[in-house]
Amino acid sequence: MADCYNILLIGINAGEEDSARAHLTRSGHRIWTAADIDRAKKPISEQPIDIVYLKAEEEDGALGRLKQKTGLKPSLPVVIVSDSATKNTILDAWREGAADVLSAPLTPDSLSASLRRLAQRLPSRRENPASPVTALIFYLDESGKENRVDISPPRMTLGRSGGNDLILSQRGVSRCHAEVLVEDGEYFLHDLDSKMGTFLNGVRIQQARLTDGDRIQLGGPQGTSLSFHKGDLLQSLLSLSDPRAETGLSLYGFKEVGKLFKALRALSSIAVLDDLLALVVDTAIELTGAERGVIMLKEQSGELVFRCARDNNKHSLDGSCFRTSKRVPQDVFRTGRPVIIKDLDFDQANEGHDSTRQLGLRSISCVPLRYITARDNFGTSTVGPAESIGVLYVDSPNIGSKMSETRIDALETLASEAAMAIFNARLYKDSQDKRRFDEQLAIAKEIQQALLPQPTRNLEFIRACSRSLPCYSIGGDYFDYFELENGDFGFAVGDVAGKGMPAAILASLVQGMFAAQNFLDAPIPAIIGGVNRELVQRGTGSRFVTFFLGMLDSEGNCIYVNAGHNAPLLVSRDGSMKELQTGGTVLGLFADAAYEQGSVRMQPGDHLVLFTDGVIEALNSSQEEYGLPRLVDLLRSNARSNAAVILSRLEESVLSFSANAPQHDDITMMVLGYREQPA
Amino acid sequence: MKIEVRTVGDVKIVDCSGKITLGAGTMSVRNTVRELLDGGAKKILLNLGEISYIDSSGIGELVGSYASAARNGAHLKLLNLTNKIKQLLTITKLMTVFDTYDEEKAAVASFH
Repeated sequence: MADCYNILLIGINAGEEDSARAHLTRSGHRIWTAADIDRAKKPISEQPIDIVYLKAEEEDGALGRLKQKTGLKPSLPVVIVSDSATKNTILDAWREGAADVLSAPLTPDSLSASLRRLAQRLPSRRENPASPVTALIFYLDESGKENRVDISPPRMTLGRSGGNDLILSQRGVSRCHAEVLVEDGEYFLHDLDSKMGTFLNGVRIQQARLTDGDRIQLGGPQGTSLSFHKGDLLQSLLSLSDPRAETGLSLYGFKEVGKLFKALRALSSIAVLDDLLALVVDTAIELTGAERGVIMLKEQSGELVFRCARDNNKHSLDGSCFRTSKRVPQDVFRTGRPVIIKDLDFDQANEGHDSTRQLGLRSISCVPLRYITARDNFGTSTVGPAESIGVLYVDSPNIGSKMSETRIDALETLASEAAMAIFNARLYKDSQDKRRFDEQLAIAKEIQQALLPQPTRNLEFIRACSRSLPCYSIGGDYFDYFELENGDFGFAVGDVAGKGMPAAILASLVQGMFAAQNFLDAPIPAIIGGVNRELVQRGTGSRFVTFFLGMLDSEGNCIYVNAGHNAPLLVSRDGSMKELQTGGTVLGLFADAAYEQGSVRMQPGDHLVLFTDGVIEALNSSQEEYGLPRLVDLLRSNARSNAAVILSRLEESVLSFSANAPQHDDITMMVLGYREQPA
Repeated sequence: MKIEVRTVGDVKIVDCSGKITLGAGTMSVRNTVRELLDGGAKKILLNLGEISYIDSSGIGELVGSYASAARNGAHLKLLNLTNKIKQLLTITKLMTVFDTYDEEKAAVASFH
């Protein structure tokens, strides 16, 4: 007897809803309904819902909105009901974590079939509900055999020693290397201070959130490779790719599906392009029963070039002696449409293939390798245009009678997944091609810019202005202003050792910590000491932060702590200068570091100039540094100008000095003018 | 950057030359020190006399190497600081963390 579930239908139109309700109720299920996502919160919070069927007007990101608005448990299976259940829609829903996708309108048959599929994943009503496995890791053991392991909450450890949940004895894996933590249905990968490091999609990480299809490497970017998977939508992908099977069930049990799954899983765990290509070709040969196969990829020049040729015994063939039909691959690549020729001798539609026939070939299957450009934008994926990167071609001297429609669909599915994997592997292999990384970087840049304050701030007694020029598109420099309740003005400049993404993340962390400090109560050295301890505890490794924090009152009294930062300069109206050095060492390295408070008095018209090392280390084309003396000269000759003018002269000077020379560090400068004369 | 390891008595001397900056340069210092520690070395001297360029990430690596040595009950000292390294260690107020020497003989003797 089938299990009975509590089912919530969202946004299903009235007629469909009635028939669905009648059908499901007859089968013993209990039904709730909500007209739209906004009205789904009540049943979700009040009823023990097991399964949700979601139909949204605006399909893009619907699942994300549902989760956000209703606080839905991430483990609860949600089936997307889509008007346009194309491969794109399905891939999209899959990435968002949907359990299944059905074409609208719902029919009794499609509902029953989807429930049967879901039943394999849901805890049985009649047994003790064990926590359902929703994520797993695929990995290759030492003998190269593929294995899978389910991730059971709350924690799975990976490493060489016997006590780990997943024991990996390959080179480069530390005894206790890394762990996966499960929190609220999200999966997080942490490096456990391993010797050779933990990498996520080729980037070394301390900790990171895992998303479906992520590639994990232990012990270096070439190290032991694992892949992380959650969600189960591949099944829908397959079921929809067979037009005759309304429910997809007819596909189940087919040998092809098994082969395809195996290949798809392995794809994301292989990063080396040549291995990947060989696997794709082998799988295509197996699927179609062809004798040999080849992958042709588009080169920079736009030309299609042989990349990997294999026979049905999994041997590589020399590309130079692999003669194929010339026309078929070119046509497929140009049009993006597959060409399946079952029998050249009898197929009337294939006139003009005489040269192909002369090769002794009788059946050919050729499908485009197209990947869908998906951008992950804070949890909602958007799908861009498909891009062809080449073709997958198999042929055989036998008549292609074995080519059922299902096999052709399976071949196309393989090709689209393979294209994505090849695209990723290429990115991975060729570090010059940073296109995907750049997309993420652009998002990070927006976040970082949004976190920085407006560069100018004018109070009754102070004019502050700052300029930050990241060396890469995002940087590890930081500045901020604080207006305190007692009327004092606070200001800070920081510099994280290192550049780019890791430095920017740490800089944002520091900014967050300062935003959370209560300045009214604590003396500055205590604030700095607290932030230092937090950073040490978070184990930022050998990354440290140089930091300067100051407070100025309306009388011109300035107190400060300099934590290993380039000493700011107090520039008097007469051009004399004083360095603000008092403080302690850099933040993030020593938990017990002590910080001392310095103080200085500003006179009306005085300026305080803060900067990061990128200013004095800016290089010109002869590799000379801008240097402190140049900075001092410039400030001296502009001592009587106002803050904004000083800042722009400084920026102009540094930039013209370093014109045309590549910069190696972020450049940040801040100028504060105390009670300036009106211009 | 180039790294060569010599042994003088029970002291491992790591001769570094070239640039210590973000990327390959820093990793190789850190990895060399880790390998020496894994091999049981307790006395490590980093010779920085031939370092042509170092930035703040490089300083981070020196401190990181120093910390791994300390965790392993080993000592790590610095030999032949260039002016640039001295300047960076002074600004960051990290100079006091390290034992630094200008002469190899004196540095080796200091371990005993």
